[in-house]
Amino acid sequence: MRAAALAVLALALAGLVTGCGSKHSSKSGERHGTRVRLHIDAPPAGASRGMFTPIFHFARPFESGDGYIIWDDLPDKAVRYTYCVISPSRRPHTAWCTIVLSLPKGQIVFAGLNDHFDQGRFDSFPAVGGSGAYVGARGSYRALGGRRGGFIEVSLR
Amino acid sequence: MTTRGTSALSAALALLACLGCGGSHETSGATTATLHATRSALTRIPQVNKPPSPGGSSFIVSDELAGGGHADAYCVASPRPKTEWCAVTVVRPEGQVTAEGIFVNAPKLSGEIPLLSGSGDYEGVVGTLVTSGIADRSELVTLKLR
Repeated sequence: MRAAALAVLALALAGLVTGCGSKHSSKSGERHGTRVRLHIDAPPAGASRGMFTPIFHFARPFESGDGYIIWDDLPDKAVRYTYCVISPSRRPHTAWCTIVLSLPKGQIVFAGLNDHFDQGRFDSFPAVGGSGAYVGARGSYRALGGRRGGFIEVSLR
Repeated sequence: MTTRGTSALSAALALLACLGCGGSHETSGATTATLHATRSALTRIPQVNKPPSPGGSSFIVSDELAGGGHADAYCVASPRPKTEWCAVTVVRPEGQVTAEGIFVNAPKLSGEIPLLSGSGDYEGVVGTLVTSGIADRSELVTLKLR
């Protein structure tokens, strides 16, 4: 089970890392009333700075308590940094994660549980704060990544 | 944060300034306090079965604050050069605040990260935590609160 999850995870994350933040990405910010939306396109796998690093604490890899880091450079000198620790939950693909988006105007922090870490997918991930232009940020983060591309969508209120 | 909360926070920060553990001032609803921290302990957390790629090492450090309280930080090194993720909690007699973010000047780990929230007199605060260097034995921690 863990080995299969590891294989899927490695594939998904390879696509996520190499597919996000390349020179072909575009980012736009849109204001609707008091809401702010950021959309970052993640193109198909290609040349991009990023890496997936597992963190193992036990003899067997990808046990609960193990973790991983994913980082990738985004346009405008922005950085996405994801740090996750695998949960002992009965759900096989649950991890506690925090994501930091370091943008030109400040950082935005997201934290929560991801039930789809094997797919490199984040659904409705909560924003818990920010700095600079994003002090007190609240809202959601959504991301879908893969070899065929994907996106990052941030909605702040 | 409520008006009562703001007043309590201002009073707490003014008290800190009087105790000599740092300065504080308030401008247009924002409050800034600077705290002097001195390292008391640091534990490096080893990785077992370490993969060939860099990053993933972590440490937890505890500092004592002049005037009372402590600040503890948990940091994880990134495979991205000079980049490290840290969660920092500052505990004061009146409550605690937690900040989290990335630094891009490792191993110094100085700069500002988002201050997420707090408890006690700090309940509901948001803002920024500025540090002169988490890895330093002596550190200045500035809380910019709203």
